[in-house]
Amino acid sequence: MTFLKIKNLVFLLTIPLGFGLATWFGLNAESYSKPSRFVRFHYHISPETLFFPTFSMMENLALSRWKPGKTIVIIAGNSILNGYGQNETDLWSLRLQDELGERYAVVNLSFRGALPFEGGMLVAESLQRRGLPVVLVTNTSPGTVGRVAGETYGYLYYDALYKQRLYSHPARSANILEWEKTASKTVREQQTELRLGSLLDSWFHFQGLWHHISYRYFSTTWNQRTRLKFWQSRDKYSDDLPVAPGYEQRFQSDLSSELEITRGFSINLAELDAKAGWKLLQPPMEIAGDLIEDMIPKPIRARTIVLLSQNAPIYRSKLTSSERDRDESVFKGYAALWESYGFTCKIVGEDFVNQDFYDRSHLSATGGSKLAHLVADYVRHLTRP
Amino acid sequence: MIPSLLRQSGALALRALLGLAIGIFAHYLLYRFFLPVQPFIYVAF
Repeated sequence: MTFLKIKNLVFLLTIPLGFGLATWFGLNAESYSKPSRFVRFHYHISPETLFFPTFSMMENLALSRWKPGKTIVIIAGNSILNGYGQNETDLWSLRLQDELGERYAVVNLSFRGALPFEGGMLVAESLQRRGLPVVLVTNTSPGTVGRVAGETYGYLYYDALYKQRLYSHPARSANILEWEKTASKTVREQQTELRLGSLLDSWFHFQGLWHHISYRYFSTTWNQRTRLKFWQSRDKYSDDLPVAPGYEQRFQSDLSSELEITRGFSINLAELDAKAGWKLLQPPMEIAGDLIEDMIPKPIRARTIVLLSQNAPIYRSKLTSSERDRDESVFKGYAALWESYGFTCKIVGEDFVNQDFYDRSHLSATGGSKLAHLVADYVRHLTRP
Repeated sequence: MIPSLLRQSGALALRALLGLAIGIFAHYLLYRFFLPVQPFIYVAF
C-alpha cells in the first residue's frame, strides 16, 4: 500500500471516529449536564435565545436535588409559575421550598408561554415511572389544556419519547397524529422534522453535547438578545427577567384590551340560561375533557396539582356583575372537570389584592409568597400518609 | 531516513486530526440543522 493510500485511509477512518467520539461525549453529557445554580429558566437558557434545554438536562436538574426520603416537587406551567415579575431571589418557588422544608425538593421547570403539560410534566412522568416520589404543580386558564406536542416546547415530548422516558400511553400519540392530519402543511412538516431530529438525537446525542458546550464553554448561535456577545457561554448570563416596579407604575397597559382578555377567560365557555344562570358550554368542555384523557397518563394525575390562575382584581372588578358570575361559574366548572379526571385542582388568585400582581396575570413578590403558602398546603395535603 | 519518517508521521497525524475534526463538525451540523432559525418570541399578556 502506498503512503498516499495510507494517508487517505487514515483520513476516511477518522471521520466516523470523530463523529463517534462526539456521540459518546453527547451520551455522557446527557447523564450530568445541567445549568448550575439553577433557579428557573431565564431568557438566556430558554428558546427565546435559541437555547433549547434538553429533556435530560431538565431531568438532571430534578435528580440533582433529590435524595432518598425526599419528594420531588416539579413546577411546570407558564410564565406565572416561572415567576415573571419576580426577582430571582424573591421567586415564589424558592418561598415554596422554604415553606415545605427539607423533606421536599422543589425544582421550577416552567417556561414562559408553555402549556400546562409541556416540559415539566414529562419530567415528572419520567421520574414517577422510575419509582421516585413526585408531585407536579402546573397552571392554566379555564378551557386551556393543549397537547404535549405541537407548540414551542413540544420538542421535549419527542426528546423524552424517543429516549423512552415516558409511560406507554397510546391515546396520547394517537391524538397527536390525529391533530397533525388536520394541521396545515407547514405544521405537519415541522412536526415531521421534530420527530426526525429527536429520533436521530436518540442515536447520536448531538443536542446533549452541543447544548452542554453552549452552556458551559461557548455558544455558536446568534440572536437579538445575545448579539453583543453571542459566543459567550450561557452560564455567564444572569437572570434578567422583568421585575414588578413600584405599585404606581403597574397596570399601565391599555385598559380595554386587558378587560377583553379578562372577559376572554370565560366568554366562550358559558352561556346564560334563563332558569339555571350561567351554564357551561359542552363542546369546549368536552374537548378539554378529551384532551385531558388523551394527554395525561393516569398514574401522574393523582400526583398533580392544577392551578387555575385568576386575573388581577383591578380588572375583574371592572367586569359587570353578570360577567363576574360567568367568570366564577367557569372557574368552578373547570376546576370540577379537572378533579373528575383525578387531579387536584385549585383556583388561585381570587383573594389576592392588586399589590400581589405585576400585571393582569403575573404575580409580584408578595403575590408569589401568597401562592407559595397556598401551594405548600396543597402539596402537604397530597403527600400526607 | 528519520526526517522522512517524521514527515510521514506528521502527515498522518494531520490527516487523522482533519478526519476527527470533520467527524465532530458533522455532529455539530446535525445540532444546527435541527435548531429553529428564529428564536421563540414570548409576549407577556
